Amino acid sequence: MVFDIFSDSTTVNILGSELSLGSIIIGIIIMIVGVTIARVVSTVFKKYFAANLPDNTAKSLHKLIYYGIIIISLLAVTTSQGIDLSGLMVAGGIFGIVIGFATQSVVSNAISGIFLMFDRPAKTGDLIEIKSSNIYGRLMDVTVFSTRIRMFDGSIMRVPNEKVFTSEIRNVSGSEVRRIEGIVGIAYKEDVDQAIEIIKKSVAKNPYILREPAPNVWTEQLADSSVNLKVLTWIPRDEWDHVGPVLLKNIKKDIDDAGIEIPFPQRTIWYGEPKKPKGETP
Amino acid sequence: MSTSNFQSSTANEHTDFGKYILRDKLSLNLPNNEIICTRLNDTSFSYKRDSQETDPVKKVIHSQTADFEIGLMPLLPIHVPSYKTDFFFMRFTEQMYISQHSVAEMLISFPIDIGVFLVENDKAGLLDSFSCDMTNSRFALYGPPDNGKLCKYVQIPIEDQSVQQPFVHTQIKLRIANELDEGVMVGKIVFPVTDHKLYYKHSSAVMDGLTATIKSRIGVTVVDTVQNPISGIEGWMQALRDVQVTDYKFSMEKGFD
Repeated sequence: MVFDIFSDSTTVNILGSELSLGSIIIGIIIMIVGVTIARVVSTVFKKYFAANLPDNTAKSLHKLIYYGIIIISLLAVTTSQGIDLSGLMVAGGIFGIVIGFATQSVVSNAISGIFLMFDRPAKTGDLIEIKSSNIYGRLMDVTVFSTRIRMFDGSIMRVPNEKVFTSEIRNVSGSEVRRIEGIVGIAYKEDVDQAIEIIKKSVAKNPYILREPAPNVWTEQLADSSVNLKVLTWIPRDEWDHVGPVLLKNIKKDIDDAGIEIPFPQRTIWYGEPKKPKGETP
Repeated sequence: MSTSNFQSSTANEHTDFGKYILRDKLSLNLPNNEIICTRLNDTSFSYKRDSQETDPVKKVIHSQTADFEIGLMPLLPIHVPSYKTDFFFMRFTEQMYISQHSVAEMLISFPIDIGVFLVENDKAGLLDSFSCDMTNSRFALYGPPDNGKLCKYVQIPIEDQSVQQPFVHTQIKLRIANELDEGVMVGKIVFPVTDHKLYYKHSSAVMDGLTATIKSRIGVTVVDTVQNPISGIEGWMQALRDVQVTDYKFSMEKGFD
């Protein structure tokens, strides 16, 4: 047995070491002091130094400082008590194999979390998309085991780190601008050049659409019912809400005002004359 | 700083930049915009701006003091439609050829935004910012999409500088120096506009000058842009601002044609 507590009234046997109640109390005091120091140091770091660091780095360092001091305190406690950890190592070896199988996914997530902190495919606040999981939202935090993403409906999605690490991540906040695309179909009888000119003027009215690179419109496809024009515009990366929902609406309004037809699929059905039996008179 | 009092409810047809005391009602007329402030009680007043280009803006303002002091100021043109960048992109409608070891100097019309401040105890809080020329308040990217810099944008006609409207434009002295051994075409200048200060007098505004030096740095042609503090403008007042004065070390390394 690893712990043989209260084998006599004044001492405790831990990993084969006889510890007095006094030394245990000292160990507890060391631990309490360690936790207090960890909290004070990490709070001071957060208050005075974190502001000058990138958000993600600050959070990682904050955790590293806090848990680092806790671990050092724990080691100080075991050293002060003269506890021989070699017994724990042997027991831990066998126990570790059992635990290892049982907590495979937990360990996998933890290691993935560490890799994510080094790899940093995105930083806190970035807009990211995990395509395989169909998740699109703002990165809140990368913890040891999971990544938290705030979705656009206000909910928070917790994704295991292993899944994030092994998935393709699209970071929309990687540059200062992003592109918005749309397709506008016009009737075959319409003048394509005139339609392109109207669409360009229409998108230029939106104050968030960049003048350079200029909006671009071209013929994308000669489709079944319409000539499809592709519209590409650049906007500041966080301004999708001011452009995305109204881009096509405004284009349609201006195209309608110009009298250009936006067609829809039509099917002409011919009714055949029923065959009449020979000799029958109408 | 001059202070004008307006107690009448009639619109003032000759609004100037400056500070105003709100007694009961204050009306300020600007191109495409009309501002009306109405005292509600000893600690608050209503602010309303009607614009021909955007939806009306209505706010209720609470103040520490009963003497409401309102500042109408020229602002750096980075506030409208929203503050996103400290940088400004000037695209010249005609390219300029600057021959080797020469300097081109010109006065150009540069856009401004308008800021309405509440001034109390020597502190100023921005209540509203707008442009009297919304249709030309736009963004652009300097450089490629993956690592370019987002800037506010304006097209500047070099040939015709007669277009200068009060409350829409300020004047800026632009100096382009070519230190290269060959002539170059210049089509755009990008610079950190927050380095610059604005000054006003009546309805006019001027801004610190800008020097763009075309030089070669480790084999790459770049343009260093540096702000030139304006001098000799007695009687002009420095405008209030809500963005800190910066001191960027900026070089255009991604082209200037």
